[in-house]
Amino acid sequence: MNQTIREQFAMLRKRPGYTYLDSGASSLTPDSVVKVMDEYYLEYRANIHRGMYPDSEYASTQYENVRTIVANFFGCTPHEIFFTFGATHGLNMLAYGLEHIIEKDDVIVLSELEHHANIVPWQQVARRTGAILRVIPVDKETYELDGNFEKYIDEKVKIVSVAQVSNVLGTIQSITRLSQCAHSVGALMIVDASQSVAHMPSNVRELQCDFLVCSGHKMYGPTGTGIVYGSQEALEKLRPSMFGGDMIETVEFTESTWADIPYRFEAGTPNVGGIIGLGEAITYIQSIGWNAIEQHEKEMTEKLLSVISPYARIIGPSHSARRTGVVSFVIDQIHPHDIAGFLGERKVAIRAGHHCAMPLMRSCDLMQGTARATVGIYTTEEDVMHLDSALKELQTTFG
Amino acid sequence: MYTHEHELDSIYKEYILDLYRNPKNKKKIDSPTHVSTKRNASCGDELTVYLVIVDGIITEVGFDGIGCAISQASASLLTEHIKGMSYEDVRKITEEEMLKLLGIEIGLTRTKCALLAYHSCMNALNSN
Repeated sequence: MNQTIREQFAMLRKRPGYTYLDSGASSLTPDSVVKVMDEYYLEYRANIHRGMYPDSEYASTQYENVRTIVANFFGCTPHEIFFTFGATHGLNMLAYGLEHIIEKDDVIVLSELEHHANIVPWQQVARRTGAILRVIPVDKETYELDGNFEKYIDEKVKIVSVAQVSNVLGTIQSITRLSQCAHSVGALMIVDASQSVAHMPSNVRELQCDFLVCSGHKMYGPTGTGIVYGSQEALEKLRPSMFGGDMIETVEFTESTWADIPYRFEAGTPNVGGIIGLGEAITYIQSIGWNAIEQHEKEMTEKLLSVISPYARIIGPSHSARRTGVVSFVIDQIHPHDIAGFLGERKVAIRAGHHCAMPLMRSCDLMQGTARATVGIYTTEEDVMHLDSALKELQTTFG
Repeated sequence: MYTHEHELDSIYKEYILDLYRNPKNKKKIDSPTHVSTKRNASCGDELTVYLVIVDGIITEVGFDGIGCAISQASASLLTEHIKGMSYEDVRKITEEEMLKLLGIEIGLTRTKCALLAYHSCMNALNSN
């Protein structure tokens, strides 16, 4: 399937021999996504909402249609979706907008494998309110979270916020069980789905979460786009934290009232062209289908693991069950930045560093970070072979 | 039009790799007159520069720490370069001169690595 898919991405079509294994940082964009954004910019460029002329009307319809596409994708209603500029933006909005439910000595539960975007906003909330951050640890042998969630989630807990898939280890967390555990003590469950949305179904009813946040640029969409899902009930608890045009109902100098949910969470002109592109990216994912995506990526992940293993130590589960195609590794005596730099010169794009997960790196004693290769729908066996020969050359050169 | 010309030149030249494998002056100096450690949090790198300055002249120089090939090679080149120089002349070395000393075309992301030893050294000069 993936030779046809590669044809749909200009970056791959125009550069034979280019191996892109950094989809975990940002995925490539198919031509169809660029095309709908081009159409917006070249044919009906107008601001949305309240432009009483055909182009504005059409732009508004296209933008709002994406809300429906996203709702179908996550298994919720369109009114439970609002758009942001990325997952970091979304998580910050949740942190600011839920701060009013946090009191001194309340507890916010995170896991040890979180991305900085799901740590720092909560840390700042804790600092402002006097709340406490509690961290579910990662087992350094199995790389799984301590499954004894009840131990961490007690009556003091107001919020639990955990990544569905680790951007370092590739592990998949038991979100449904975490949600149930959070709800049993009346806490809200937030899911950072940035690393999962393009690789497995994220049905919010099955996950039973209250909020789910992701970025568009990791799911074959454009940069500068993001999504927040919030259940109707949860969105009623969320206060707006970005203020301005479009999110209001009435404004006086002394006070204002807010627009309905979810519009009150979209202050100012959104990334209209980007959101239209994001809708097309989701349609693109759906046109390939989860079965094909999951089967292909699992196969590529297995190949990746077996090619990397002889050269390096895998940081994360070494089998492909319960993990995605995020493969971190370290090589003795070669700095991760040299691995990535050297591979980059051989047209193999991987990432290196702490992957915005310094606390996890510290606790795994990996302060120089890891090298990380990630699989996308366009990854081929040739890519994996290309990585293999580049690693072989690296070993000879640095050995 | 974006070209891929920047991909043509390798930073992993043989002399860089040689310096990485066998860096000069990679030693801790027991009683330095000037010393400073700099960290590059995003790489996890840490580099200490030790100087012995007598009568305004760098008489002894060493460094230790961990880092990538680029940071280790630049530490080796810089320490070799400043040996015997006057305190005042070392102070005048600019970032551009350090990068020139390294002799490879370095991109934005690796500039921090290339300048880690330089910044440790400059900081060390002010440490006494």
